[in-house]
Amino acid sequence: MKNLSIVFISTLLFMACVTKHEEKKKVVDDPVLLETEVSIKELFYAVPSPMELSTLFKKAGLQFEKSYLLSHEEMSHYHESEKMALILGVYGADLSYSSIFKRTQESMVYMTVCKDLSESLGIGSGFNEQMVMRLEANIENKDSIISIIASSFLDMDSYLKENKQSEHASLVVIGGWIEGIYLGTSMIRSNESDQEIKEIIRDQYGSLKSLIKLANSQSYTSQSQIAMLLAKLESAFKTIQPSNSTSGTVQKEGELLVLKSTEEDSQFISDADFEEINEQIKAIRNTIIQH
Amino acid sequence: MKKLLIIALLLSSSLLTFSQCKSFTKKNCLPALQPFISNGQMNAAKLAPGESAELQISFSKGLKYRLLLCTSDFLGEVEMIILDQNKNKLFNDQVEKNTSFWDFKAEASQVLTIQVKAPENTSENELMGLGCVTIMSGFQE
Repeated sequence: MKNLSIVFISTLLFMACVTKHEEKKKVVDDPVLLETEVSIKELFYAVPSPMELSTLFKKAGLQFEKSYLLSHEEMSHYHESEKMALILGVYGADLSYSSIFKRTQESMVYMTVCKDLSESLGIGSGFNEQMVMRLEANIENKDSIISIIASSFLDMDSYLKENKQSEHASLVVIGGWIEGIYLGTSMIRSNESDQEIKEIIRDQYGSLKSLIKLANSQSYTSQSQIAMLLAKLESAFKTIQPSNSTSGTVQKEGELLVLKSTEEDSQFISDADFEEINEQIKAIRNTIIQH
Repeated sequence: MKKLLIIALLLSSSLLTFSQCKSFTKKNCLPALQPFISNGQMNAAKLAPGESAELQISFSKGLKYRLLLCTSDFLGEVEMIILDQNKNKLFNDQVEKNTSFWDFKAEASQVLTIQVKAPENTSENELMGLGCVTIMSGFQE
């Protein structure tokens, strides 16, 4: 009976690993057939990636400014795993920002930093030697660089979730979002031309609320500190939200779904209004990068 | 023998769930995200007939987005529903085969909820148990 059990379970495991599937035949022929146990319902939070934020900022006229990035030399100061996950998010944002602004040298530096940090965290997929080599081979092709980096983020996220490290996956997202917003807020100049960048940041209020839910959905040692800082940031964001904000609508236009809003044109955001957000973002970023 | 079958199924499924979903998604669905740039997050859920998963996602003004849904064949016609922040239904559609995607243009930044609902039990899927549903998104200028 014992031998039979081993053979049976081995067979099941083998069958589960087979990716090719044929006709629907009930149970084991389906490669993604899973189980018959307790029912579940899952809720996910997707916040804009640093690459998306950098794209928005670039489109609004933001310029590349190297001095705001976290120096790659700082990497050696981080040793605790949760801190390393947050810093991986920060460096990942700096990598995304560099790549969107076509800064190949900085992209290579930050790709290598992400690889080294991933190795220290024991992440076997995503930012690895193979991806660094792919980036080197495609360094002249901006689209390829962006695609390689996005693919690295996705592989890393999959690896962390697959290996029951969802808290690290969340910390990477938190670190990346904060650094992405930090780069935008730090480079705003005191003139009207940066109004569009301010609006982009103001519009991240919804994604901040999703980030807070994501941060609170996991268990990690710095959770209460991060939750407190994000709550203060949410309060600062709330003060510059349009007072007449209402729900959006979805209209189908050909093959495209258009997300519209009944919200009226946004009001001017003054530097004074924006100061509190700037300060809060700096405070969170300083907490994250503190050794 | 029946007990052994159940135990073995439970053991193997709990160990391989995400891995299977990941392999299945990468092989069968991920290419459909091109040429959009992935947001770097793979959200995979195990759903039984009649169950649902939700993704809260931010759309920013001025960008285009692709929402990609990857499901096990046997789950049947999975429904995709877009809800606003007050959970009002704005749009719904059915997943064709095991991969479907929708392209969005955001005229105003907003957070929406994407609800994915597996159909209720049918004679086709009643013995199948749980299946994979993966929700991903990408953007482009």
